[in-house]
Amino acid sequence: MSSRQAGLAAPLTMTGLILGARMIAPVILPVSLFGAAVGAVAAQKGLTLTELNAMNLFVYAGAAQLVALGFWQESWNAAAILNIALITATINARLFLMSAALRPWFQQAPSHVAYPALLTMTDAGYVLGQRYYAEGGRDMGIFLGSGLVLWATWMIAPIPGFLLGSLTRDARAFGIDLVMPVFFSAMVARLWQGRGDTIAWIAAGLTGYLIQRQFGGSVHVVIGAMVGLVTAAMLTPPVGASGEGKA
Amino acid sequence: MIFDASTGTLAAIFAMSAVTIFLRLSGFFLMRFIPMGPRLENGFRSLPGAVAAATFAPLVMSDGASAAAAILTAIVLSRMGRNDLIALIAGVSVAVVMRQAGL
Repeated sequence: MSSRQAGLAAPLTMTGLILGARMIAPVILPVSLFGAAVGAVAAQKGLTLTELNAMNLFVYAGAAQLVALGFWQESWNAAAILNIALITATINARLFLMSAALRPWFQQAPSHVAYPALLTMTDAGYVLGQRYYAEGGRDMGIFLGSGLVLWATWMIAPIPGFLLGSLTRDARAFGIDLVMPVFFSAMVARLWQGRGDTIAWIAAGLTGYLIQRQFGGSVHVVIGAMVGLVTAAMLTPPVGASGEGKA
Repeated sequence: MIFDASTGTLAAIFAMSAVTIFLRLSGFFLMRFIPMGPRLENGFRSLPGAVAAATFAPLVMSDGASAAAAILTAIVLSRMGRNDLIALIAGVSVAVVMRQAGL
């Protein structure tokens, strides 16, 4: 299934770019709804459209933007900027783990392809990419194509939300708050490969719940994720004894 | 005007950007120095589900039945091979109906 070309184990092809853009298409609607919510909150917090666009372009991380906007200031000093950077770091710490997890695939590509591709990484693009990799695919175009389409979506979608402003008022009745959780759960459900994953994911969920209840904030995401990662690593079947998944 | 941009706000945005770019790149870079065995690889393979579980468990526990039913519906449909968008629409619809019914 993997397209091996000219000795490069992980090529970057135009076919891959286009296929990646098409594979990410189902994500555009949920990401747009989420983006509209971010735009509406930005308007409420007094950001200008230029500032919102700059944030969407340079940060490109929905959950972190939404939470950071909750702590937005009228005027900024060094302490406030440091605080917003720390908040961003806790919510985006999972990107560090995902980036590390992409090593086996991306190390087969040259650095000048791997690092720019990582700049386009989001939760959805990462899950799509890992699914593709697990099925034997290696084309970097899949990752880059899907990432660029999502980035463009993320530039455009918040604008109507910003202009309409009050879009989020009845968010709960229309289930808008569940769009990302439901969609993301559907995406990862297909990565399940057996009992090890079941136990690891329950451990991650339980840890996330308990940490959040105890400490609030958003550290529960990365702590829960770490617990899940370690659990899955410890439950790894011995080499050769496993009949499931990839070899 | 909506096209203005204040220096302070831009500084905050670039701080967020710098942190996020660092996180996106550094995991891959650091794994150069750590050998990737089967255990670590399996842990990383399982990571997306762990992130989802850790993120959404508090939401499900605080929101109650409608969020849980929505996510469960989506997981079942996804495992049955339906595409993600159908799973999304069905899952959210279940929650909307339950919430309208006051559940």
